[in-house]
Amino acid sequence: MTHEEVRDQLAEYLLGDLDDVSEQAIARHLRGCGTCRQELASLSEGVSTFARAAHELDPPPELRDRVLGALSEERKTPDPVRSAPAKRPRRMGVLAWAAAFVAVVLVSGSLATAVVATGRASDWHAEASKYEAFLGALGGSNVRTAKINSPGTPSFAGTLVLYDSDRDQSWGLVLVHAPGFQGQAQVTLHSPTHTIEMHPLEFESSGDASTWLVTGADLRPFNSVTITQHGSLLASGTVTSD
Amino acid sequence: MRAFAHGEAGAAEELYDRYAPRIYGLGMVMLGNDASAQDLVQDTFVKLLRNADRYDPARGKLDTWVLLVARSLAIDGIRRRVLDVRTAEASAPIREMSTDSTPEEIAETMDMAERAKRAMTVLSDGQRAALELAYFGGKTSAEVAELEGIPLGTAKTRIRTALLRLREALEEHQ
Repeated sequence: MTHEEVRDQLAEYLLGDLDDVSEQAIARHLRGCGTCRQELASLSEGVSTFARAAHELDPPPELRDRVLGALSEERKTPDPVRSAPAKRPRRMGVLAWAAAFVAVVLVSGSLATAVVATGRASDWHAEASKYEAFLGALGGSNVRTAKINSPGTPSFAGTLVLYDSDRDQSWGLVLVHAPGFQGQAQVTLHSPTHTIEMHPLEFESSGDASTWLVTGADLRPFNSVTITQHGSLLASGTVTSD
Repeated sequence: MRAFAHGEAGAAEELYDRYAPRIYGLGMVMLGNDASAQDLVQDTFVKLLRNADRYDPARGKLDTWVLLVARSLAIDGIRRRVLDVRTAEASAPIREMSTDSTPEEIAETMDMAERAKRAMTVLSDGQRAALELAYFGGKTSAEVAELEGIPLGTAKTRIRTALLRLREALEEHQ
């Protein structure tokens, strides 16, 4: 999409009045376009400022206790999305199994090839983009990738692949290579408000490890990953713009 | 928002104090009576809790997100009301008073409508109409274009320009 096409629809995007296809296309453009993000921020300010000026009115005092009580009750009720640990599939259809299985096999195969051939993590990152079209055909709204790097030693390098499904079958895949590293490491996906603990990485003697999850939870807000061991940060990565 | 989602002490209270007046006011403007406006406040906070992990800072500030969640619920409420009534009158302007509004509620709603009107004096008539239909009425640009009898591109431009001008004008007065 061009800047003009995106700007033309930003107000509707902000107000949530676009169909899913248009909304996803704009979201993709925004990730890589600071100018349009700035425009969106201005429109957002317009809505917020207008709301304060046009319709701010103190509610009855007793409403506060009623709402806080309702929230307290709500917290006692398990919510499948909010509480989903997503360590392992929560709800998997045939499609999800197929997508996850094929992807894991394909990407892991590429990973192994890349490791053997070059030993460079950057190749794994490039591999991820090859599956975008394939995954899109399975109902995915987007495939996002992040390079995983370590701040020090031992040296970690790898890739995070997040597949945002519009059919409640999103999944995430973490592939890493850490020569000489042994044992397990914890993998956590992060959104601005939540975290998801993935199944721990279990490193082979070659230094390779992978883990994945399939979940009905919405993974779109999750855009970074950390790998830790006993609370110490080993490596991290953040999803890059398109 | 993170503290609210995690149930940290005081977070819900802080969020309520910050946003309840705007949500309640929106309910009064869009739904026209105190009971519906109070229900809107409660429903909005419950939905915020359920969808806390869907908040995407890249898409807009928290203020806007909270407000648009409330607006979406208010529009749902209006649509349910329209379906319930099942009369031709149900398609009348959405800010029409409900028949069970008290005189005080009507006065407050009128005051809210007046404030909204004042806030929009910086806009042209066309921009104001387009924004009212889109913001309070939940209409898409295509629906605004059809209702106003203008090209789709013009409707989009009017809504966008209205929001940008409001931002500039209202911030100057604060």
